[in-house]
Amino acid sequence: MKDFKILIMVLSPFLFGFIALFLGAYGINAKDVIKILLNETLHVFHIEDTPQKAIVLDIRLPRIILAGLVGAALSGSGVTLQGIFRNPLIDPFILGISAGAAFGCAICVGFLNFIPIQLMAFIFSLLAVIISYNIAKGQGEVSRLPLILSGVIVSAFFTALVSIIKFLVDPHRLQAIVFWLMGSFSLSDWDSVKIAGVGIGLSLIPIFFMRWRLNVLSLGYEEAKALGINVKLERLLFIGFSTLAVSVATSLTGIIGWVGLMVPHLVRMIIGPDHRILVPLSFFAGASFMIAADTISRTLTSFDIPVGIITSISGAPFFIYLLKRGGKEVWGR
Amino acid sequence: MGKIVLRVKELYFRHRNNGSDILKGISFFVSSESITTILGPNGSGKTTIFKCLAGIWKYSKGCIEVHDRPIERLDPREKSRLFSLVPQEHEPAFPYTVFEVVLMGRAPFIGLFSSPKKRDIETANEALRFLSIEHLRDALYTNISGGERQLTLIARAIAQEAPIMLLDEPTSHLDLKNQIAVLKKIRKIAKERKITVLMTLHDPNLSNLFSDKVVVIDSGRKIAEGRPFDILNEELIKKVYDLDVRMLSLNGKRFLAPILDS
Repeated sequence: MKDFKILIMVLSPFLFGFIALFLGAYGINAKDVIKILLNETLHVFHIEDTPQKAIVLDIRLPRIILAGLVGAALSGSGVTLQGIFRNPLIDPFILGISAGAAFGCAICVGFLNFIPIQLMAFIFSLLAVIISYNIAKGQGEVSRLPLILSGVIVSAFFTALVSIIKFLVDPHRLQAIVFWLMGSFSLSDWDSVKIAGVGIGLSLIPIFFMRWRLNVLSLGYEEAKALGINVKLERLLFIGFSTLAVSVATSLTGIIGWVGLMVPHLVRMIIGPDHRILVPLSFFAGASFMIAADTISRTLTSFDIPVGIITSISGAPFFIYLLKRGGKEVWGR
Repeated sequence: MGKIVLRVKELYFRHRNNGSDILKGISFFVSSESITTILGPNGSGKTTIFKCLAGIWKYSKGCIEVHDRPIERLDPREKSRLFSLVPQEHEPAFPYTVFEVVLMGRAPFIGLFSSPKKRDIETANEALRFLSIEHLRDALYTNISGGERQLTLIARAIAQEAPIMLLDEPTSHLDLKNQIAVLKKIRKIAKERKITVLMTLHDPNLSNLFSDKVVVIDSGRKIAEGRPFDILNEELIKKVYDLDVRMLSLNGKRFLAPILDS
């Protein structure tokens, strides 16, 4: 039964991604989509360069792959941060990582075009999480509620800085910043897939190999130390890799909240808290969640609704549900 | 009793922001393959000694030596191969199974980029068998009783395969039956696995029944050190716990019974 659930979760992003290829504002019949795909992979038919071919291969396909990568990055970084801070109520969005990345990107878009946007995003998101962490840190231990509160503070601070930039920047660029902040995959192309593939790969692969450590780190500072672990160093490694994943994702698609909170929670409910399985499955489930959310956002109306709005609409009630269910599982002792 | 494995010399401790010493020059030693208990009333400094031994708190003066090596020179990994630590039972952040908790005892042997291998899994299973709690293997740690949790944490320490085991008040949250059950397992560990056990207790009778050596402390000072038979008596209890007791003998064992007024 457990193996079956694992198999379903691993296959789901590929299945969702395949289905999503057939859906979209421009009606292309299924036979044509399959023909285009077969032509591209096996070269069995020869197809002229038609608009249909361009839509499937250069618009839908990169967008779906990017959504999958970004979903895996957000969810993977959520499960990692929840583990090291032993706090099921946090994600990159709550800790201010997304806001920090947004500020870094806004500077680049607004003023400093010559600096790579991912670099600025990474620097400021790392700064944000380190500030949140240090505000909440007591005697080596990070308590739950203070961490959430310090995340709120840091988030608000960086969001205010972004507002200053929005205020100062010329209106032309303002529009770009505002749209991008809402979180959307509408600008996806193969270049962004390449950047995402490298950046997110470089951060999720080490997290995958270190995943068992999250079990031990989630016992807390004193016990993990007694089990021979260099807690401070390993926490920093995990924070660094998960921040890299989120900052690359944010720089490409803007702020997409709540995925890192919801998906690891759902996977934990289904499969249990052992990070050996939880971490990889969070990657896969995050990818399928994001592909599904993005497909909804681009097919629900004739507009391309920013996907960040969809995830926030589903995320807020989920958070309230967790708080209301409350008790031991959420707050521990 | 064998040779001395652990030696605490003139240990002083004070909190960073707080002026007064909590430990005021504690010295004692622990011999191999024996059970030593640190006995004292609440607030006497037992837990402080424990945290200093575990390396969680830094003592301000004095030294702790393992096999004649000062422990501050050991890095966390070296230390975790010498000491296993059994904390008081508690609720973890996530509902792990008992087996997953025990497996974490293998952490000192598993590299940063690696996961437990077959041998680690076997060692964890063997630890569960040794304590006769295999039936709890797949139970959730959050759903079992206090006594079972304590045994799970002890199994984790066994899986760690360190020669010295430190236990912080292993009986404090348990009912009488579980107190005895847990202490009997600890005695079995010391005897059959040749592990040196050092634990803190606050009940003189349990300390008397289950230890080879007692170190009695009060207000951060050592009051007595020796075999329970030699040192646990009416005067000592009066002095340390400010309580009148009468010593009773039963089947060759001695018990301290409080005398109640009127």
